[in-house]
Amino acid sequence: MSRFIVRRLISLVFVSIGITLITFTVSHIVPSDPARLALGARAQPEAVQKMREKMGLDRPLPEQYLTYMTGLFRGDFGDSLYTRRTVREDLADYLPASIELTITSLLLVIVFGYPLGVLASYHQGRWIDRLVNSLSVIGVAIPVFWIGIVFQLIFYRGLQWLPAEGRLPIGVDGPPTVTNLLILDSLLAGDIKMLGTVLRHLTLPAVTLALPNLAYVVKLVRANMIEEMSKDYVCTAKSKGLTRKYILWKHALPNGLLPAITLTGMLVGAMLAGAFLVEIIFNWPGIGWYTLKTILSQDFMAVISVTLIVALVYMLSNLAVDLLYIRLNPRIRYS
Amino acid sequence: MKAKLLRLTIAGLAVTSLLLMAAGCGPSPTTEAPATEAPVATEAPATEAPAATEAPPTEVPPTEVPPTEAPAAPTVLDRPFITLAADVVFSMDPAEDWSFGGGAGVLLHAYETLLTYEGEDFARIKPVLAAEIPTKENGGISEDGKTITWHLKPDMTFHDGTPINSEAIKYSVERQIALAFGPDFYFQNLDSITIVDDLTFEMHLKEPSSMFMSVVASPWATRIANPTLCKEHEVDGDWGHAWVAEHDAGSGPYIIESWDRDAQQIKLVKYENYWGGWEEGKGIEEVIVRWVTEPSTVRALLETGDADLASSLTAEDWAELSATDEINGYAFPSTLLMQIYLNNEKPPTDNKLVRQALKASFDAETIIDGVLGGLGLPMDSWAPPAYAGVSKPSNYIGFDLDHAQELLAEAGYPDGFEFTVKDPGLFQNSSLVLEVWQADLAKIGVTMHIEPVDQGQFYTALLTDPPDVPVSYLSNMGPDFPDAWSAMWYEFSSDFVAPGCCNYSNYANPRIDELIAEAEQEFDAKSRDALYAEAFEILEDDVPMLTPLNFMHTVAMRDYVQGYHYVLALSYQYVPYEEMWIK
Repeated sequence: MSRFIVRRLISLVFVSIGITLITFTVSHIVPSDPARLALGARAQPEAVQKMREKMGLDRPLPEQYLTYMTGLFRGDFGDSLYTRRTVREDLADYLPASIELTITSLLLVIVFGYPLGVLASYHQGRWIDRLVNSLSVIGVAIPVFWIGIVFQLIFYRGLQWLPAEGRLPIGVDGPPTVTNLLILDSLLAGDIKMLGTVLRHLTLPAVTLALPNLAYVVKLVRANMIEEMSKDYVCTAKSKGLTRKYILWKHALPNGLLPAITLTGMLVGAMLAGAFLVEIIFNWPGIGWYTLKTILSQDFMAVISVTLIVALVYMLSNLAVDLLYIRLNPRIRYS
Repeated sequence: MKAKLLRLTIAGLAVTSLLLMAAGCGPSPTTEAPATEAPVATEAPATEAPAATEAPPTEVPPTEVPPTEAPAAPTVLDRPFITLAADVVFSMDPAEDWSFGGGAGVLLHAYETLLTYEGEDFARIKPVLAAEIPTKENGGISEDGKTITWHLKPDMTFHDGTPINSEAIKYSVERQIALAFGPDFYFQNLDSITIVDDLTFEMHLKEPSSMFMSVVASPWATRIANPTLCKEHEVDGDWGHAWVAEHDAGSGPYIIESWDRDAQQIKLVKYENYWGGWEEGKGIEEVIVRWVTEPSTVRALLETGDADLASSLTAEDWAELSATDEINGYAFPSTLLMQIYLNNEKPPTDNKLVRQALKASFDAETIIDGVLGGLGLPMDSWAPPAYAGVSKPSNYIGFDLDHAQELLAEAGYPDGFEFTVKDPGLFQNSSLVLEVWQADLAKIGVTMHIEPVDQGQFYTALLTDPPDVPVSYLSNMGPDFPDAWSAMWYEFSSDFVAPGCCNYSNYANPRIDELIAEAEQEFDAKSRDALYAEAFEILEDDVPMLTPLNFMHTVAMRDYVQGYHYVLALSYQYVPYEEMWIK
């Protein structure tokens, strides 16, 4: 088991290097000049050349990559053209907002998605199943930006229950910064009022980000549970006189949830990377928002760093899923 | 099964409708406007109304800010005044920032320039730190036009009490040039600065320039940074850049109290000890400039009164909000022009008849009305209509497809040709603009391909690789200061032919070069206007590129916001908080 984990962690290093190599090469061969973009269309050729030299863009690509990797091993992600400071500083500012949003959305997916899927499968063919199924279809079909705008319209503009944007009200200072995760920082500061404010601001973006993913999970859990409940071992269990509810919870559920857990693991990275629409609609200062701006600015260092982080999150969440598999299904063994 | 599905669909639609109705029927947001005293006249009118539009369903609101008067004791908001902006600030160092969002929107309140533009007159300059505008008449400009003598106002200080004197100005300008982040562009013609005494210094120019005062008045040219703070925080010869990029080092009526990158907002606080003093009843106490890019969010915040002023609305949102009782909307001509670069060196656009035909095929008025929501002004010359020295050439080519067809035949393209326009999407509905033009071009046999490109590729291609025609570029740049000369200098001078900045059409005409040079050295406005008029006639004949329209900027604010006025040269992001109050 420990050998498996060590092997996966070692492979993670090599995959990360591969990702940096690919993203670095691809971003540097596009026909675009970030130095020109940084200085604007009116900048004189001399100023552009100076900026190019400052950014190291005048050096051979392998040398640029080597410099980048050397810095990366020291924890230096390079400088951002877009924000004009180090990418590490940017990530320290923007990543916590995305982590907070993603974790909250993921919790919503898990807390509501799994039970609703099981409930629908348990009541297969009845009105509750049809309702859950229909809502999941709507959740999958409606684009997230539309959901966000409609939520703003209803809960901010109409009912005035929830704020429309930002992590905090405009002009309000947050809790003392410890982790930059505002929920955690509010708790650490013992500021319950601030915690309420933070949660109010988090609600609409988190629900918007969760809904389509929730719908996927519900549909997957439902389908798997129905499939499990129609298998031979369930028949055998029934013939032994076990109740349907007991069979579902004790036997079918651990098997039926395995694919959904895989999906949930994948969702961590996907939600982190795919939150940019939600972040833009709700003016949420996360890495989705940051990535979009940096891509448009040809900000190579920032784009490579965010890609690397998202890839690491994907790989680590997959590792966590694999380990969870062992816990849920003792028949699975990794060597 | 089908019936069940249908029932479910209907039920779903009903639920959605109910939710939307709930939104519409929710409590109407109200922002209570505090009581105020009788107004007195102050503010500047803006401009003429934009052309009528088909897009907004409502009547287009006025474009002139009504005059009001500041009360003796203004009402104070129970929270900071909130402005929503679209352009994010990169740096607060005046030597580095070269953006509308930062430059005009924020930094100009904390940093002051030697001269600035007045709102009442689009091209009128007024002194800020300078005691007067140097002219030949007052002895401020030497006979050869190469030495400018500046006198500073006495008793001016930065926010920390450091005096603003000749030494401070010299240091700040030299710092800007040495850092070379972009705004050094404005001092290409500056040779050196000599200090005469504490409040007098001379700028020595490489060449005489009648435009120098306009350049100095630009919001990005001479924002003076505190030398004491810059030197105190200098690290490795960076002129204090790392520190100034994050902190206030200015002298203006507002202090930049904080810049919260996480919340994407900057807080400005009224500087009570401002050397220029405060007019009674004027000046917003605290301002937060918040960057919100999603139009629906901007609209919602302004509608509910959670924000007070927004300058980043879509044409549709602006028109609809302006028609409401609680929000006043205004539209003003901007410094931005729609530009379509045509390569003057390669066929078929090396033929001026082809370029004339392309000009005659562009229906600016229909595009303004149908695509831009009325927010544009057709151009009948080569600089924005409000600029100094602009006149309509007698040979003006307007929209006329029959004439365009004749010109093409005369140019040897009776059956038209194919070409591509690259669109980096620099303004709202840019692709629709091109589609309307594409339809008109098809009527005269010209096939235009539209190719979206990202901005990085756009800028790179513009400068490093002049387009192999038939390729053109759609852009939205504009002159740096409100004088016709600024609109012609680097767009049409052969000194700036690509690769390089900024004659992106590769246009060269020796007479235009002469006229630009002569106009720069002509200090008499009337004589200069005559030179401009000749240049416009030549440009209209040559059509080096297309500049069919002048974009208008929109601003919308809650009805309790008073004292706003627009300054063309400082553009839409500039909000004169020091002259505003709450009713």
